[in-house]
Amino acid sequence: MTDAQHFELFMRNYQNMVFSTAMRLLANQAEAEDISQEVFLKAFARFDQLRDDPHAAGWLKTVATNLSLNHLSRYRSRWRFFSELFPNREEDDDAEPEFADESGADVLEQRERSVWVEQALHKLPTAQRVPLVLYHIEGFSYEEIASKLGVSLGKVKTDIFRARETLRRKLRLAPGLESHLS
Amino acid sequence: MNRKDDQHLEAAIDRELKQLPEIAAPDKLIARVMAKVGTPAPKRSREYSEPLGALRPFHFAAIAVLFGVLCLGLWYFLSTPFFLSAVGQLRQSFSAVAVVWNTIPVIAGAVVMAIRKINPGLIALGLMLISLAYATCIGVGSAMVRAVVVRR
Repeated sequence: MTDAQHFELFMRNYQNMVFSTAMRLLANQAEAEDISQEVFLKAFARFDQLRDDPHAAGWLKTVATNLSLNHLSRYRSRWRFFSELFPNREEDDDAEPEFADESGADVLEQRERSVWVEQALHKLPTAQRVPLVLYHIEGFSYEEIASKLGVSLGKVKTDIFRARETLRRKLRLAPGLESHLS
Repeated sequence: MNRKDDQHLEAAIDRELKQLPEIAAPDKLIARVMAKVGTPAPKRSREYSEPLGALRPFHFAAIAVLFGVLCLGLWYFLSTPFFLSAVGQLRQSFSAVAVVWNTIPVIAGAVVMAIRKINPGLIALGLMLISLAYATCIGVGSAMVRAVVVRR
């Protein structure tokens, strides 16, 4: 097997994990692809070390997270400018027909519900989605998130609280009934 | 919601998000990366970073000496008769440019006279149309970027 073939196999093993990390933080397919590509190009540059490293997955995840956050901070001002052209577009969480089927929620298959949750997650405003993903999926603490995003601890907690509330509304969860979901 | 509800919600959201399966990466991702990986590094950066190695200090010294020689040479050249005569010729050439420069106010005056003869209403209408077209371009451009780039 040549080095290129080894690296291709390495990519096949980890590409979904890297892409998922970027996709959940950026909520944008094209940008997530670009970030994933960048991650693997960095991995290729040090493939001699990563090839047999048991912590390769962790390294890839960290790089994907950092590059996604850098990307968000780099384009945040531009994003804000254009988002003002369509104010409240991302906040219109009451009009979500794909999440309106409350009666069928109990019989939904896990896969279908995952798609629902994934879509609801992607439709969260960036300020809510990013800390929520970092906390619940990436496993960072509130303090680490505040440090990574360069915001106060209070803002992180508020944004995550709002994100959970938005998700609860989108997924039509009644307060106190969340345990019925699974 | 009370604190208990908050904790229930946190636990439920945590469970839901942790259960999410990985998102399948697009098929073209591997091809994209492999195409980039197969591309050799730019020649200049490779030459400098790889073979020079220990010779790099000598390289810097050589460049510094070369730069000094060039500066001295330029200083001598600026005081040669050849350079001074070239500067004189250049001044003569620019005297022709000065003539052109003097005609600009005359042309501008003629244009102003011509504009004054046009109906002010027409001028205002023209300016409005230009402003409208400009605003439309900005609006359409911004909407396109929003729709195509940001929401891609």
